[in-house]
Amino acid sequence: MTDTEWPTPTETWQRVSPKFAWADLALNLLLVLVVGVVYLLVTTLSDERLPLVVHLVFAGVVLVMLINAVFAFRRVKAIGYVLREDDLLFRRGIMFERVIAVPYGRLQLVDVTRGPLLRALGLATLKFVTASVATGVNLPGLPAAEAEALRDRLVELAETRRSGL
Amino acid sequence: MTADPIAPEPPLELPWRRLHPLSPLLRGGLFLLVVAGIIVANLRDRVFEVFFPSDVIDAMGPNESDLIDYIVAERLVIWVLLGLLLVIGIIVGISWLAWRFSTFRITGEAVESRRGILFRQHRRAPLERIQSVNLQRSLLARIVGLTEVEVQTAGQGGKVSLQYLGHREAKLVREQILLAAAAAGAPATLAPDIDSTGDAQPAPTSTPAPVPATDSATEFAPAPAQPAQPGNPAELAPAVDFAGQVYGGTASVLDGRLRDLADFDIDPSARETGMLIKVPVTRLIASILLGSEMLAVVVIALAIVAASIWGSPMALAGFLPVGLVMVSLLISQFNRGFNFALSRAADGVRVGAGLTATMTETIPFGRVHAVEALQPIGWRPFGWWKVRITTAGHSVAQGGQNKLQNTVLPVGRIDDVLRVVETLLHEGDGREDRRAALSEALVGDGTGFVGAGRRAAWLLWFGTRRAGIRIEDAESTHASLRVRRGWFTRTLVIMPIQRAQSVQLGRPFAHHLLGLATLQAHTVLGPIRVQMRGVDLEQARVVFDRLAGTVVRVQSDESHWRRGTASPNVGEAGLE
Repeated sequence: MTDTEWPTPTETWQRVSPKFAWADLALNLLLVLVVGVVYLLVTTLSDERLPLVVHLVFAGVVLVMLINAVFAFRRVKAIGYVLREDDLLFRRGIMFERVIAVPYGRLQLVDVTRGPLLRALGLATLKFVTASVATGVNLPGLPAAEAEALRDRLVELAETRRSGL
Repeated sequence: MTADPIAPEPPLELPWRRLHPLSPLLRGGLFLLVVAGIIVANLRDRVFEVFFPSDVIDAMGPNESDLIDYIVAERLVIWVLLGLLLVIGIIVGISWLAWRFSTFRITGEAVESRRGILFRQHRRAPLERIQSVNLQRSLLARIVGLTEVEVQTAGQGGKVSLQYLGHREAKLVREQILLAAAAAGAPATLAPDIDSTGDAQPAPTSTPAPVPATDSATEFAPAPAQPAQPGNPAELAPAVDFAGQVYGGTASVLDGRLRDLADFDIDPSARETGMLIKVPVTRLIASILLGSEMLAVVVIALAIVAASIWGSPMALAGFLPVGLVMVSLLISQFNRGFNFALSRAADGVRVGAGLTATMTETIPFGRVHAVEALQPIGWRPFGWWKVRITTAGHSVAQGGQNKLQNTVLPVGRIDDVLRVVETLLHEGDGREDRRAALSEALVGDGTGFVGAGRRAAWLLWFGTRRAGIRIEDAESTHASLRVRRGWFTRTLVIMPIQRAQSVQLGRPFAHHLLGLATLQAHTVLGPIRVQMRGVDLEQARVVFDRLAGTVVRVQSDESHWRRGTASPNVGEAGLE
């Protein structure tokens, strides 16, 4: 398949930590739990019998979310980035796959954030911000040290290639 | 006129200046009108009594102004008058203080404004971040002869507005800001004659031609780094009629006022160089009636008629909101497009329009991030197009009635579109082959474009035939990405590759199944989406690689060039 080779025939994709998949899974399962609680509340609190449709909708939502949660490992594997000579190549998604190339000169700022869940796993999220909101380059689940090294590297690259707006 | 005299030396370090003394009157204008209204309503009968016999007054109905009778009866006249004077005095005093504290200045780095007595506000717009300089005039301001200068910067809500200046002074201030911005950001604005690939071209229309017209007109084409010379604003910033001609001869004070009121603010040099595009009123009205918004309203109206015939007659009540929408649509589009004129000035593109309230927007060169030409289906028989742009300063939600809302041509023929695009992007600059390529991209059959994939008709429907993407002039710094699409509304999007923030190849689910992909270039926030859907995957990958390569090359050329020219002696020290 060309899918693995294009668009970087020579370089290999850098991946985020596989540990991030567990965080992803946990978050998704938490959401399933929330929906389950809402379902329980609705069924117990309502006086009359609910129509069948409501049960079916809840069942469907839970099923889709469970499948989505199971795909966490595949999804995290799909996140990748390559530092090419003049631009950052980023890809993400299975169902809605995206490949994005951002020239280093377009970097406005790099954001490294660590939520409580990620901190427990020793991970961090790196965000590459350009003047366009649509760029959306978001690298979740990098090992903290790697995220900081990458941030410094990106800032350094951006400094040497600064262009206007 | 009102403020301190403009200091000629050093050139771009102008001192703090004040706004027009009448500006507090206009800013609090509504309040004063209300007060005056109350007084007049109460005095109406008193005034009439002087001129008419009392039986005429009685015939006009009962006298409502008990207030004044009461005051007279209780002998409070003196106290009321004193109180009134005190209130007026306080208002005048506060206004005067507010005016004293509102100042602005233009330096070599920024436009700054200060205002507020208790809560001091200091706003600063760095020159290289200025996206456009606008002159806004409400009807009241036009009558009084005042104008608001608004400096738009990149970023949402980042603007410095100077409320208000005398009209001619406002025009002068705009010139000073634009000149300062041109001097500060010279490397950023892409002058066509400095083409780093060596693709040097004669630029007959870009440089302001020596204007042999009146003395005042030549003042509009000064060399950069030289601000407008101090002097009489009336001579430096003459009023211009809709033909782009400076009103001739010397004028009396009243005459000058009237000319300012009817000043279309078209750059006088544009008429000489032929870079002036106008929209006739008849075409504007026809275009509104045939536009897609009006079509939608008509469809809804037909649906209501159908519902009332076959359903309940109550559905007719729906006509009321539909009618209101239609009227407001007509008025807003008409007001926004009335007397529309686009002209090319020495330092940017100037767009102006408005019926009662007017607005002129001056966009320095190199600030346009994407251009889109649209043709709703109703305009096709006439060959009309509308052109709008994305710039960094515009917010999407900016929807005031007198705002032009990113439109740089409400309706125009294909020739107008070509000229507008050339003016905005320095595209072509009169070169026949580029102009032909542009016209081909607008209305041609799409040769040279990468079209939609085999099975794209599932996704694009009738738009499949027109869909196409192309990198034009990939070798030069003027490389642009062009996307054709649409059937109901045909469009052509042009994005200078210099302004691309990032490029994306996407494979949403349906595209994935059909072996297709989407290609998108990301720009700053704006109304234009530079996206092509339904490209064959293999072709999309080829285009993506080329696009990413072109983006990197063009932008690194630009950054080298900035580095080369923006040496300290020009960039900073020269302006200090």
